[in-house]
Amino acid sequence: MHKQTIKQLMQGLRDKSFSSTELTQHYLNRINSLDSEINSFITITDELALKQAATADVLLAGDTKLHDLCGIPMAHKDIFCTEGVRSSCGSKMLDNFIAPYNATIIENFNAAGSIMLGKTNMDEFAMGSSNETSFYGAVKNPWDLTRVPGGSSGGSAACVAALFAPAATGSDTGGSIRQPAALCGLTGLKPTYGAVSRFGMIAFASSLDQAGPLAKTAEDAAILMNTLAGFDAKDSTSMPRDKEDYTAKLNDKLDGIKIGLPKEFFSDDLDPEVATLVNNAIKELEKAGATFKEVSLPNSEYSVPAYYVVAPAEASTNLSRFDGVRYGYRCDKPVDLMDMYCRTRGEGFGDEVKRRILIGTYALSAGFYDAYYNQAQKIRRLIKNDFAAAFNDVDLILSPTSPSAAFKLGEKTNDPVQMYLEDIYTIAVNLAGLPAISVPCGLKNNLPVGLQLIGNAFDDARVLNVAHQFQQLTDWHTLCAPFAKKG
Amino acid sequence: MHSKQLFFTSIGLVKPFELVLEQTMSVTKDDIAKVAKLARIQIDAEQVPEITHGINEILSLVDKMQQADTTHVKPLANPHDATQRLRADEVTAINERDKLMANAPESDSGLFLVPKVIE
Repeated sequence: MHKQTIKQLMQGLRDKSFSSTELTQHYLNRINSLDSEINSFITITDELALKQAATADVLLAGDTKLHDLCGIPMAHKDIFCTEGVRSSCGSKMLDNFIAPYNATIIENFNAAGSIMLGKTNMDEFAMGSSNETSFYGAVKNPWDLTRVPGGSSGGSAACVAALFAPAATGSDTGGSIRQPAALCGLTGLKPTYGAVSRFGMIAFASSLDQAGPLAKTAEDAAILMNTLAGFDAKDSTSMPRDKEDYTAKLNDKLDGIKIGLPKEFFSDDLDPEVATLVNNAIKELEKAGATFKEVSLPNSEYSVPAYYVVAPAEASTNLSRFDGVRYGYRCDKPVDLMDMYCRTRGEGFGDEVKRRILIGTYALSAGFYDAYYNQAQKIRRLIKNDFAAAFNDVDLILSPTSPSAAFKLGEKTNDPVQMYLEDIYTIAVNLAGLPAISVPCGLKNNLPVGLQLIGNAFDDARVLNVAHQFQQLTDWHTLCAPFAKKG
Repeated sequence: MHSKQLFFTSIGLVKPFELVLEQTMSVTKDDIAKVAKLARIQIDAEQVPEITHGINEILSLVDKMQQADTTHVKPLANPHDATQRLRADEVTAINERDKLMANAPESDSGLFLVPKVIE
């Protein structure tokens, strides 16, 4: 059962091959017996899951029109507020925080009749590319337990790769869905900024953050997007748009589609094995009728520098809410208010979070605002303009997702700059607010490598279409992590 | 010039002159202590050199931004250039005080308790 896609599980539930309760119990058994080796969950919600499954089984037995996800178990990143369930964001600061309300996307999944298996591990406040900054410990990659799963949605990626859940939610500020999807052999979509509600998603960098799905296939990701996406009056950055069917274009043929290859992303610096796998993918897509053309994103070299001003600056303001007054951690026996703020935050935040708050505070401080924040925001426009110019010529842009495959645990923890360069191909997409997907395109030393497809704003369905067509031509997405064969 | 600056900070000297700070955009240990106070984060004194070093590494990465010609470029705050959507000023929230205060570290009769502010 656990090897099936959401699409297959939907059919199994409707054919009565198994009930939602059986399916949910099966996944819970796998999680409870095997996750001690992966550490992909922070909280397992056994009781709630079985209650939800019982409700779904009543609906499945009835004759009312069923939602696609009715009875389908899911795991949710611990960045989403879940009513009555700890929502820690991977931080000591929120270790005792029981959310008093649901994030909009959680409400959407509940309304659909989907089951929540638990909350997944993540880099603290989504700051990291290896899931090693979590207060709850590092997550292991099911492809090789000595390696990272990527981050920040590392728990979400690892739990799907370990077949503990058919899919999971994640969030992506600079690559946090796509990079772990690439490193764990999954399909991960960062939707267009404003397509998915961020209400109840604990904020990191508000002009960049976007929630999205991690799944086994692009088809599953499209099915999930139908529940994730939609206008939400509670999120002031949600874009007012009509409800869209993200599965509608999946089967469109690729004849005549034009795909751009940014020359800056295919320079001599690119890992030769990754380059070979990406080139093989290009040949497959060409056979299916796609044409390729070199494009240029001349300002992409500034994307990582600009990101490491914009994201920490926004984080430093967003995380000022953690002050020990209303919720979360408070230091022991504060002598006065200042002592309470400083010790609460000094003790409650981990090193990487503190580092980013300090950079952000510095970049926004008097005298430096123009040189840092304003300059970064101007570069953002240049990057957006580069993409706009490229999309005048092509429908999509293709690149690697990540510079290489999964690296060793501990390999980059002492070198923040090396860690930040993990996101060199993904960050520009967030700065420009575009949709992008990572799909598996091969193995390097038996570890998955990801291919990134970037679309124009609100062209998410076309991104999913090309990813789905690629998965009709190749079977990289069907490969299973060695660990997943357990149980 | 940047490595020279790192050398100065690593041996504990203050920045040699203001111009270097502006050109390389690096920080000293004193700067970090000041910024930490602004950010309301207590940092152990023995951690300051390591944090200063890490932040300077990042600032040297960020430094590359200064090479971009952004004359006449308008800053982009929202990826779609969207402006803040406002809602009508109507009461929408229900009173959930007890539920919202259940997470408070210390509270009394519907009030958040904090250390004494006024003597």
